[in-house]
Amino acid sequence: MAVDYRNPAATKPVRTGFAIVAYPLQRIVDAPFNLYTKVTGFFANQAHLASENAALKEQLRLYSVQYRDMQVLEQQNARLRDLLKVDKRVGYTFTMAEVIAASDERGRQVVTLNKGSRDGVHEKQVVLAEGGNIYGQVVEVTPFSSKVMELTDRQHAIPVRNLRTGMRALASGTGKADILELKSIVAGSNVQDGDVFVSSGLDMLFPPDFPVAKVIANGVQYIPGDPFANISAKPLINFDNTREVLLLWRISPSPAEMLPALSTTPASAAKPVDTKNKKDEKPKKDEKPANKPTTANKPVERPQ
Amino acid sequence: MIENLPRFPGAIWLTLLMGLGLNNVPLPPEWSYWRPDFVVLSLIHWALCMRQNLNLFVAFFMGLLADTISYSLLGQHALGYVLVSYLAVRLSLRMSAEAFLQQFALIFIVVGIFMLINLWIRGVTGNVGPGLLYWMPLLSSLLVWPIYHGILGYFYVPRKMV
Repeated sequence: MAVDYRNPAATKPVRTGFAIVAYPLQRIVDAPFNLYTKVTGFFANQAHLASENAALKEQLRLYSVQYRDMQVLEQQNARLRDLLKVDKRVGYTFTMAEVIAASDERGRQVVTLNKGSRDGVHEKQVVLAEGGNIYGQVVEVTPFSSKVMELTDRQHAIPVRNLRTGMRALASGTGKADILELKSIVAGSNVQDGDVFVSSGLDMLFPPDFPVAKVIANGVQYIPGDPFANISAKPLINFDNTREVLLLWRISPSPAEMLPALSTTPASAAKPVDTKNKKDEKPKKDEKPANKPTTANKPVERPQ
Repeated sequence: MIENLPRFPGAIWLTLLMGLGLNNVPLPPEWSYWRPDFVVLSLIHWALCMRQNLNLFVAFFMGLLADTISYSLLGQHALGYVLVSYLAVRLSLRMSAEAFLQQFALIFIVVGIFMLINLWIRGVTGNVGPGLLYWMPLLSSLLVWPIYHGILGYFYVPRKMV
């Protein structure tokens, strides 16, 4: 136990081994729920299906037009970046995965997915859900399954940015499925109820500008004598009900390529908020050479 | 003296795995506070009925499996399960397997110690629980026990020793 607490890497093989053993059990436990979903899907109302189908088709048509527009923009963007001698923009590919089990441990928000290393899942991979909101990151991979730590896990933190003011902060999980905590915000900083925080991408792990959480009503609290404000925010995902998630692959050889992509964010508005979490943050983009040689053309590791 | 035998080889393994499965059936969060640890109940059941067949290594293995599934500290459940088996076997000699009131006392003590150890380990590693709600499984274990004990009764056959 002490070894696992001090040095989790040492016990990783044991964990992986047991996780492989546990996988059939988890599948068996999940089977009735899987069956229920399938059966209810099979017996769904025909009229309802037809209307849903029509709506989806319409949406698809809309999206395909928007996608065409997007392609034009992407080409334009690539050309302009080429002119400015900036690195290529990072792209992403996705795969759907299903949540088959959730941890029952208090304070732990870890779920098991039905995709593993044979599907190309790797550790520290970003997982999205519902409408492109950030869900969490992969912490453990076996050949058949993987464990994903949600944003709300007590040991998880993600660097975020206020969409309105550009102020940076660190959103840490509380162990409860519906509350994220933003700690050590300088009192008097401009945060209001309803502010949306997006990922800042400073951790080189989560892609920038993906929505994370929204400040709840009366979420900004000051404790007398404490120079910092404590802010509670509600994640944009309902973690208890999510069953399908998206695994995200970065089409870029190394995370270092991400930096130039950051320059699209309003950097001028971003101010460093606290000194405590500074050391966790990576050097700011201004300090990086703007036009370093492009190595983004290397082959990509993609899922099969 | 009456000695019980497993109904088929691997009956203990099967019930323990079943308990582990029940531990991981998804429940709404407000319900999951009430979920008793079914592996602990299974271990107590076998300690009462077939104490000579209960293997501490099996309990340890089950604990490690539970730890990987719930992503808790490796060894947290394992230590708990081993202690539960040991205590239940020791205490089971002091009571008759039929007296429900005595069984309730045993479960209360053993499950209480199991949860206390889990709570300590969590406290040491900086993972503090949600207060009084943490102790709800202690009550629900007692409520579930008669039914679960009855179901597990299928898995062994009483044999008369000559």
